[in-house]
Amino acid sequence: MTTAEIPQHRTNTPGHEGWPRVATPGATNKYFMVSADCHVNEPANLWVERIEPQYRNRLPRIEVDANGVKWSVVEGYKPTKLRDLKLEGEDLERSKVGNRDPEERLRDHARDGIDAEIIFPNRGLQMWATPDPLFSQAMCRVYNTWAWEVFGPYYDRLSPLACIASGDIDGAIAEIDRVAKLGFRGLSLPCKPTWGPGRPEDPNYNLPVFDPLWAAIEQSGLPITFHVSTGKDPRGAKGFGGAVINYAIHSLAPTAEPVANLCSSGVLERFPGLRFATIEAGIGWVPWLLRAMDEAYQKHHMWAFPKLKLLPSEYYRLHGASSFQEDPPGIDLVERYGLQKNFMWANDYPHHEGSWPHSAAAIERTMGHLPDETRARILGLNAAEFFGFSLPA
Amino acid sequence: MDVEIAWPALVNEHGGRMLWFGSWLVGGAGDEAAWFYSGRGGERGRYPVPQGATGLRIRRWPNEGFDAEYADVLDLRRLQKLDAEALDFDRRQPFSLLVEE
Repeated sequence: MTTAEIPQHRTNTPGHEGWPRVATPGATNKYFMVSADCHVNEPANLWVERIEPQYRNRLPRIEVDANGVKWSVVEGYKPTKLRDLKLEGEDLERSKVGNRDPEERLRDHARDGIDAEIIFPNRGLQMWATPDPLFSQAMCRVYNTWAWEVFGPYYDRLSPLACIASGDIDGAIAEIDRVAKLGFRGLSLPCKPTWGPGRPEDPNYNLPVFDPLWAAIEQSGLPITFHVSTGKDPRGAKGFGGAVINYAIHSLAPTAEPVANLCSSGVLERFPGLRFATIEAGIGWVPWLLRAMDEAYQKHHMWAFPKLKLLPSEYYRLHGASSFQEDPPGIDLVERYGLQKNFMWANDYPHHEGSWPHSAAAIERTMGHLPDETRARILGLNAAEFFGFSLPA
Repeated sequence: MDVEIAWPALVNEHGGRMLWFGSWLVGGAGDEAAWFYSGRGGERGRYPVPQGATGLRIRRWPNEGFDAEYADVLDLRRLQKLDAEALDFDRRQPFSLLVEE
């Protein structure tokens, strides 16, 4: 790898002059850094080998049409045409890391200054991409069992969350009980319990039908996460601008929905032990959403029910968190809106939209104006508290 | 009845050995039942055809970042030997989930 192959936008930095602590890998005064969002490449044959036979022919797969064109076929997605993608330099390197060898991951994290990580699936994000919650739960069970086999011995630093298909409430409660006993430190739920674009008749997290699920989660003591692209097909647009529209509007923006569902419906009043986090959706939108929820609750008081003890924004501040990679507008709003305890940084290893292996530069570009204590919280202490990592002595 | 299958030692897009997976089909709608092979090829094996099997499905992963390609063999009556490399993974399969436009 030569320096010329590393894009400048990843390495540009104003430096860290005047910082009492830094993000530089290996520095003696480095922050304790937890990446709240990383991904693992699962074994290619994980689900076909382990899932119950009745589900095997429904698993995601590559198909060829009558014209010889190859398509990725997943139950809940529109078929996606496969294109040859030629990657070079660090892009190629990122495509080859993120594997399931714990020691390899620890080496990669040392290179980027990461002390601990929260791991989400990679191809496994497709586990929720089906209208059948029983099939989804079956895929989640396979992933959870495998993830614990591989990372259980490293769980103090490499921590996958247990994936749960919340549309199957009874199955979800049973799986939460199983993974809590194994020792998982958190849960990953889809942004919507029912896969798809969203219809008023579909059950959603604001409705009391999910109270048994919240009770089980509260009893487990585990925090909930909502990862981007898990409630509906993020490929909602095609043609001109499709890549941009799909990323911003159909992947990231829908992650706000579970926040509003939990904060406005009384769920957090009935289950005060619940904690939740949005993952990979950025943070700039959070102050806007808090304001929008409060505005609706106050100005539309004639329609807003149930009446709550606190404003919706206050439930987020007490129970909620959000992860981001690089979000300068969001960082600019942290102090102004008092969200120092709610935001969690992540390098999104090994994804291209993340900052690995130049996280220090990304942090220096965007967080220079924050107080040291706020940087420390956002870079690791908030995630450590949320997910229950031990802090270094 | 047995089927002998040769699993080739092909190189995948990562420069490693291609991963292969074999499973039985049952019924008339391409339903998948038990699997009988999962490995990196370079070997051959004999597999007793289970009662009720109506075919077999071979999956392979040219790129492990993508999902598998597959090819179905739907007539087991005279099948004694099969070379997995000779299967056509680049044609539409009978139980395709692709929707006709």
